[in-house]
Amino acid sequence: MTTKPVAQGATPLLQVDDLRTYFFTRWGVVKSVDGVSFSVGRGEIFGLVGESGCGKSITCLSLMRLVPQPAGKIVGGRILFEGRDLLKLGESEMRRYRGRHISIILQDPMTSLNPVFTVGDQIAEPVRLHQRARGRDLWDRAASALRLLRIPDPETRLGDYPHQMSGGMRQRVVGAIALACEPHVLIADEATTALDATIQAQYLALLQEVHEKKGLSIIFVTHDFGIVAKMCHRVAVMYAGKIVEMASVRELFDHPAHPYTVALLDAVPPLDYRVERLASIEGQPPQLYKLPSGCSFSPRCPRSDSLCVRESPPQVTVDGGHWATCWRLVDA
Amino acid sequence: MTAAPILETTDLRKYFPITKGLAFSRVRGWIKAVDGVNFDISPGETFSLVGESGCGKTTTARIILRLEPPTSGAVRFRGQDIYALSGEELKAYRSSVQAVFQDPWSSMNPRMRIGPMVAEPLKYSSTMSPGDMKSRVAELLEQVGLEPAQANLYPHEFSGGQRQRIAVARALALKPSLVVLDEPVSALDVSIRAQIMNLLKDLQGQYGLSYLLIAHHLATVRYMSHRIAVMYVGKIVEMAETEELFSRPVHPYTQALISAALPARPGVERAEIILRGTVPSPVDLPPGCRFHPRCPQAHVRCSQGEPELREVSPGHYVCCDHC
Repeated sequence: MTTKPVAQGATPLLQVDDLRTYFFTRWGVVKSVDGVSFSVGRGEIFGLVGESGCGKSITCLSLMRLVPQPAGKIVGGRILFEGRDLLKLGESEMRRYRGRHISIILQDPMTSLNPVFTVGDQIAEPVRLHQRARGRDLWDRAASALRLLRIPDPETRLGDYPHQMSGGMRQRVVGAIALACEPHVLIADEATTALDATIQAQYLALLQEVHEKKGLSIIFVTHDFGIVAKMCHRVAVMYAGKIVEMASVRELFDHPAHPYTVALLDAVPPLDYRVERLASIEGQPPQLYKLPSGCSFSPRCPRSDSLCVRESPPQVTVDGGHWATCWRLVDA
Repeated sequence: MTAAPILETTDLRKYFPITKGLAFSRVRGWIKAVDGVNFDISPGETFSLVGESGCGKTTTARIILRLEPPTSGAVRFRGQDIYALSGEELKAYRSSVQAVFQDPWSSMNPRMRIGPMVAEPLKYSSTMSPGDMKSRVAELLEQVGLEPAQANLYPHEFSGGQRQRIAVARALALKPSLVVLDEPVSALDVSIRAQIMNLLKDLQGQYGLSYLLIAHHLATVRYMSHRIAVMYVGKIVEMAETEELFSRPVHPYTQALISAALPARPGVERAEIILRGTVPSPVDLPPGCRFHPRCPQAHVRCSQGEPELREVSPGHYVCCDHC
């Protein structure tokens, strides 16, 4: 994986504008996703990084329009897929997009597979629903989806139940379901977090292969900067429901501008060289229903001053496609 | 290693029976969770067991904590076999070896306040007065970076990182000399992990603690440890000092594990060794070297004799006959 071709079309395949997804709870309104905008080009691998509770998973569920009801609600914004606003579609129209054009792989393959159906039934389901394949043809396409994910002996494995497979194999089955209808966008929400290191490496290599072969766009949602460094072209860092920095992967690692990104990168122990002491970020991420005033990161930020506490920071362009929302950017 | 080891294991084995039938069950086979493990830990040292799930690292830790008797082999703590201890000696062992577990949600009683929870080990193993106990709890909470006033709160009022701090305070209550850390940071957020790792390092420097660290994340292990043993399906395949292991990994599995680890930054080139297949089941192990079906450098001979751990350079042990 030495070259990372970035295919930038004229119009992005997926464009998210000012997305807001709120949860209405008895503790108050939780602004899980609060004005998130980004775009994903054709054949691009986009990373969304952040800590737990920063809103990255809810952003994904919003893209699929699968936000838990009734507490959660998409209250604003647009999600343009090939120019059409997914938020304006009716439920039955939306169903035609899920699995057909946009698919998702979730973290835990044990809970995303149904234990009482065979793997074949579950892979065939989206093909049957979206492409009306039947009989022999349907089964062949399910087998070829398994083959795409490099499962040995796919025809026999179609008859297996999820419990007959190892964790890595199960996650490949989930991948096969997601890719069975050849979608344009794949959302991988912590898809490899539950896998062992060597199995994770296999899985990432597979996704890279499918990406290259089919020109698939992938959105990697993760807390792990390693995955971003290995796989992504562009990346957005989220904190407390907002994107705080967006840049190409190289740019983000070489010249991080937001103090949160800088601190987060410094807090990860490196494998390739020795460090005596890691820098750590004091405190913990804020509760989303009682956010601090001004910048949400200000209570933990080493650079914050009275302005940061008082007012929300502006979006500042650092360089081309690199921007950060901060009053006190770190000079790269 | 100049000083006498504080803990030593010799040929540790733990086989779990697989039984069939209910009333008159008979043993069908054995899960060889730990299959002949030898290592020692020096005072003030962090020794790590690293490996993928199912490699037996947690079972090894449980044997050392005396939670799971071994099938054979021995664990010696300061020269004494821990499974031969009883009465006062056992009590002393229990207070000198403590543990911090992975999940700070399930390792705490949700209906107990933090103060009594941290004080609980003191109650059983010392004759402190309630007043002394209270001041000791306050002292412990301060050591791990919490407020003494927080002793009155319940676990759910804390975040994951703070709970892990409480777990550390509880483990330190009896001034142990060895702490078993079973995946202490993997359940925590990235920004919190560094806090806890630094805390553990500081406490080690302050009190000369020894740590047995169980982890799967190589970078964490590298940051924390002095010496590392890599485990694969119940066996140590390579053991060396940290810098030696990372700069000159010898066993093909260690090399694959390091190559599979994600880079810290883009553009870091690593020899890409993608292992085929999955970890074999510890029920029916392949003949010969247990890694040979996945080994990129396997010879025909590898499927015959089982290799032994041998020293390739001072302090660097490898369980492979061909590297």
